[in-house]
This record gives sequence, structure tokens and C-alpha cells, in this order.
Amino acid sequence: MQILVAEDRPQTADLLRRAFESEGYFVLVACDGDRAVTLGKSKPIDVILLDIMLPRLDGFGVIRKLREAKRRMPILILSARDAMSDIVYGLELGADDYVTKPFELSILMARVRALTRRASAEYPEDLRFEDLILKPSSYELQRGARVASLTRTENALLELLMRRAGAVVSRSALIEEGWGPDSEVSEANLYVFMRSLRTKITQPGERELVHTIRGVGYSLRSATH
Amino acid sequence: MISLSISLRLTVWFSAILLVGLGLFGISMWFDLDRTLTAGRSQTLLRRADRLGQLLADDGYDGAERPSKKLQEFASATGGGLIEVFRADGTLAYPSPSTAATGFPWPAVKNLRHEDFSELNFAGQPYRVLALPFVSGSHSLVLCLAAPLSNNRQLLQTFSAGLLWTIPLLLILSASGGYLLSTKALKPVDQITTAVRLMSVSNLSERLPVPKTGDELQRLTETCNLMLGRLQSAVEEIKRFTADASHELRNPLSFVRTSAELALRNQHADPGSRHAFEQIVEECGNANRLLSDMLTLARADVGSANLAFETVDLAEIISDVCEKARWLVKARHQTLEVSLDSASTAPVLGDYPSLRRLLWIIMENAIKYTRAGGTIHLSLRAAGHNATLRIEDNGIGIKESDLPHIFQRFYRADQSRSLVDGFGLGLAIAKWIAEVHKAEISVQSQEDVGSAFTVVFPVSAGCPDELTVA
Repeated sequence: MQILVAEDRPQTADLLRRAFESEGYFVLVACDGDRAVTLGKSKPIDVILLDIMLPRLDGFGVIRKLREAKRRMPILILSARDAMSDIVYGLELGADDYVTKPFELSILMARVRALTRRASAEYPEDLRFEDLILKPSSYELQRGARVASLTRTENALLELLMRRAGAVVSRSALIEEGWGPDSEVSEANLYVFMRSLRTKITQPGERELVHTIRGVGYSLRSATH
Repeated sequence: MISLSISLRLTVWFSAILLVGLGLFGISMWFDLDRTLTAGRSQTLLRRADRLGQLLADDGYDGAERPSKKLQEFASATGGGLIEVFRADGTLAYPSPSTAATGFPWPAVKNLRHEDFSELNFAGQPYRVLALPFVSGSHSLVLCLAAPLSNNRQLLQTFSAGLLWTIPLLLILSASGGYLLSTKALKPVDQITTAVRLMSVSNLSERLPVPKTGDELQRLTETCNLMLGRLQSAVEEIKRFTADASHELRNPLSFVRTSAELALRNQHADPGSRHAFEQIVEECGNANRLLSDMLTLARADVGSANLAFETVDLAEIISDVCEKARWLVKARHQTLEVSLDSASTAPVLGDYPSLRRLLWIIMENAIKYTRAGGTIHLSLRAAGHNATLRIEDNGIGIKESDLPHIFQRFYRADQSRSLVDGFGLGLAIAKWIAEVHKAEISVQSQEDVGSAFTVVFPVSAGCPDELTVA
């Protein structure tokens, strides 16, 4: 497993290198955005830990350039910035997860494990529910003539909902599917991802398919009753 | 000392000056009128005396003690017959030409050389009397004529009565007019006062409307606005500093924490070092919570909280938070009762994570300040346009003297409370979240009986799509 740490503070980068090397990862460090893009394009990297405030090119720019270059490796934003708008923007650009500094090392490790585990799993067949089609292999959803691209996490969440269409999927099941066990993702976190996912599934004027089941979780259903 | 408003003081001064002016005017007019009227009477008397003299000269005084027919006619035609002709020695030259003249108290005219005016009262009436020396042939005579002044007096009385009526009337009219005008002129000052009073740290970006009048008021509002501008930039700098400082501290804090956690991964570390590293990790966690709270409030202050408002169901947030709270309540041997109408929804327009946080802060507070075995009761009631959320506990309660301060930043009720985790920012954040959702948060509490926090939300019109599980 090869990790790219994009972080401009040398001490922090070194600390992360030691932490992940102790877990058996091979760690590359990029101290600015341009370098992160170069490494991301040229090396076989399994996951990127990306700071937002990077010199030369900021983290958002790195995500955009890598995704434009069709590099699909999971990206985890690791930033001191915790404004909801920053997080949502990062996810829209194609980041897969976010962790704000300061973080608990074991949680960060669990989240990285979840990303790499999911990356290696393959679900080639398309899933259908009414007029909604999910293509897990390309992280795309199709509804009618409309196509929207999903992030890795959104893809995993929707896949679980579609596999259990009609049933209620609990929040803890969704969290485990999206981030893995022991990731300690809060329900507020899940909410952010679900909100982003729902806007992609249902555009204004379309029938609501994802329903909130109070106190339990979510359900993919065609009718409201 | 009683302080009167400027317009009232102006009116009082203005009225006093007007009163003195009107009084002086009235008095001088009265005297002037009196003099003019008296002079008019005197002229009349002199004219009559002239005609009387002419009459006597035509007849020629012959010493006869019988008045001529012409004199009698003249007397009865003018002045009500108040005419007498005396000799120089003071005796009557003719018998009185009328009965009125007979009883009239004529002044003594013996040896009179010059015309003489006098005034006297007769039968309760004032009269003006003229005595005029007259020579007819070899005889020296004195012509006496009198005219009543009662008409003049009546006129003067009417005049002064008129003045007594009109002066207060004028005074009232001008005082009220003056008061209205000065109030109108000073109204912009009131507006400025009201506007400045409504100014607070949260709306320093607002400015007073400047009246384009080019007068003192325009200069006053412009000066106020300049001052507001300076205040605003100073306050914004402080807020930005707080936000930047909390933010910048996260990186070193993160570094310290991760270093300690990495050191803890070393299986060979001695127990003393392990304990120290564990404490570092714990303190980093506390410091981070404090920083996050400070950052939240600093962002709230500069209005850059970035909340995403949508229709959310309060009932859903309550189930969320209760689920999270249940294990904490269980660990402290407390009971959590939830009165939630399962069929009802309470859709409010809000930011889901913030509302969740608001509810969690109050819930955590209730759990912290309730002893083992205590009960926390949560209820949601929707009525009309409001949804009322109430969290009650039978814990240690809040002192009455502390109640007004508990929503203040860093306010800690007392020493015993500071033993509980927290920094005293939670309720300040809760209050801010309530405010941005146009909800009202309030607290009732009694020491050793318990506390009740109430949040009243306005219910949004739109209904969210919602499935409820029985």
C-alpha cells in the first residue's frame, strides 16, 4: 500500500510518515500542491492524505487536476479547515472523505483502511431501482437522461441502499459501509454525505426516492407510504 | 432638577418672551388710545366753544339776563345742553340754557385768563370740561362746555378686555405652534437616538440615514457614522483575530496530539511515559473542544457560519440525540423520558448539524447537572405556528443570581460546577444557534429542584417528505 501525504509543514508530514510506516504503509510526501499532482499522476498511489492550505496549488486544485486526469485513487482531506462549505466543496470536487485536525490517530487509520478496502472491492454489475441506475464501476448514477458522478463514499452508500431497496437501512450500517468499522464517523458526518447524495439522486421536479426513517436510518422507496 | 426636552424648554422660553412682549404692547396701546380719545374730545369741545363764541358775537352780549333763543337751540342741539356762559366774576351771564347745565358742578372760573381743560365726575359719570375766556364787546365772559367721557371709557374697557382675551389665546396658539415646530425640527435627533440605541456589536455594519439638509443634523449623523465605521473595523479586527488564532492553533495542537499518540503505539514505553502521553492526548482533546467552540462563536460573530437552511424535522433530531444520549444516561444511572408524539412532525427551517448541536448541548447540560438516579424529561409539542422543545431535569438547578448569566460566554456558575467538564461556551453557542433559527431559548430553574430549558421554534410552512415507523 502506498500513501501520498500532501502537507506543507515538514514536521507534520514526517509525523504522518512515521505513523503510517509503523502500520506497514509505504509513504510518499509532497510539500506543495504541484508536487502532489505530479506524484499522483506518475506513481501508483493507493490513497492521498491531502491538506487544503498548500503552497502553489491548494488542495481543491489538486483534487480537480487529478480527477480531470482520470486518476481515481481515494482522496482523504486532512485539514484544520472545518467550515461546512469547505468540506462540501471538497466532496463535490471528488474527495472521498474528510478528517479535521486535530484528529485521533486510530480514527484516521481506520478511515484510510476503509478507503483502501473499498478501492480494492469491485462491483462490476449495474444496479437498478425504478428509473435510477447506479454504475458502481464508474461511480456514476443515471436517472432518466441525467448522469451524475459520485464520490467513492457516496457510491458505497447508494450501493447499499439500492441492494436493500424497499427496506430500512440503519445509520450504523451505512456508516460501516461507507467508512468501515471503528471509524467513529458521527451521524452528523453521515448527514453531510447523505445530503450531498440526495441532491444528486433527486433534482427539483423529480420524485423523492430516498426517505428518512426517523430514529432508524434511510430507505430507498418509490412511494411515500 | 427636572430635565425638560429641548423642544419643551424652547417653548417655555418662547412663550415667556411672547407674554412680556404682548403685555408691553397692550399697555402702551392702551395709553396711546386713551390719549388719542381724550385729545379728540378736547378738539370737539374747542370746536363747539368756537361756534358758541361766534353765536355770542353775532348776538352781541348786552348784559341782558335772558338767554337768546339761538343759545338755547345751540345748547339743546349739541353736547346734551352742557353749556354755560359766565361773567368774569364767576356769575352766570345767562340763565342756564338747559336743566342739565343747571345742576352741573361747573368749575370756578373767576379771573380765568387761559383756556382750561379739566375732568370731573358727575352722577357717577366722568366728564371733560372746557373753560374758555371770551370777550364780547366790553364784556369779559367765560364759556364753559362739558362732554361725557363714558364712551371713551367704554372703548378703553372693551380694548383691555379684548387684550385679556386675546393674549392668552395668542400665547396658547403660538406655544403649541412653536412646540410642534420645534418637535418637528428636532425629530431627526430622536430618530438618530433610536437608531444609535439599536446599534450593537452584531449590526455595526449598519449606518444612520444621513438627512441631506446641510445643517447641524447632517453633520451630527455624518460624525456618528464615521465613529461607527471606526468601531466596526476595530471590532472586526478582534473577531478576525479570534477566528484566525483558534484556527492557527489547530495545526500545532494536532501535531502534539499525533506525536503523543504515536509514542503510545510503542509497546516498550515505560508506564510513567505512557501515563504522561495519555494525559497529553486528553488535554489536547479538551483544548481542541475549546478551540472549536471559540471558532464557532467567532464565526457566528462575523456572520460567516455557513449554515445550510433546509426543512428539517425536529422530531428526527430528537430521536438522533436521544439515541446518542441513552448510553451516557445509563452510565450515570439516570432515566431519560421522551414525550414525542410519534405521528406528529415538527418541520422547521434550519441547519441540521447546528440544531443537533443545540439539542445536544442542552441534553449534555441536563445530564451533567443531574445526580445519579435523577430523571431527564424531554418533550416536543407543536401548537399553531410554534414547536416547543422542553428539556427538564430534577438536578442541582441553577441559583437565581446565576440565571441571567448562564448564556454568557465563559460564565461558570460556581466552583462546584467548574468541577464538571466544559468551558462555559456551550450555552452561548446554544443561544446563538437558537437566534439564527429565530427560535427563543429560555430557562427556568430552582436550586436543588431542577432546571427546564425551553426552545420555541417557528414551524416552517413546507412539510418534509417523511416516513414514520410505528
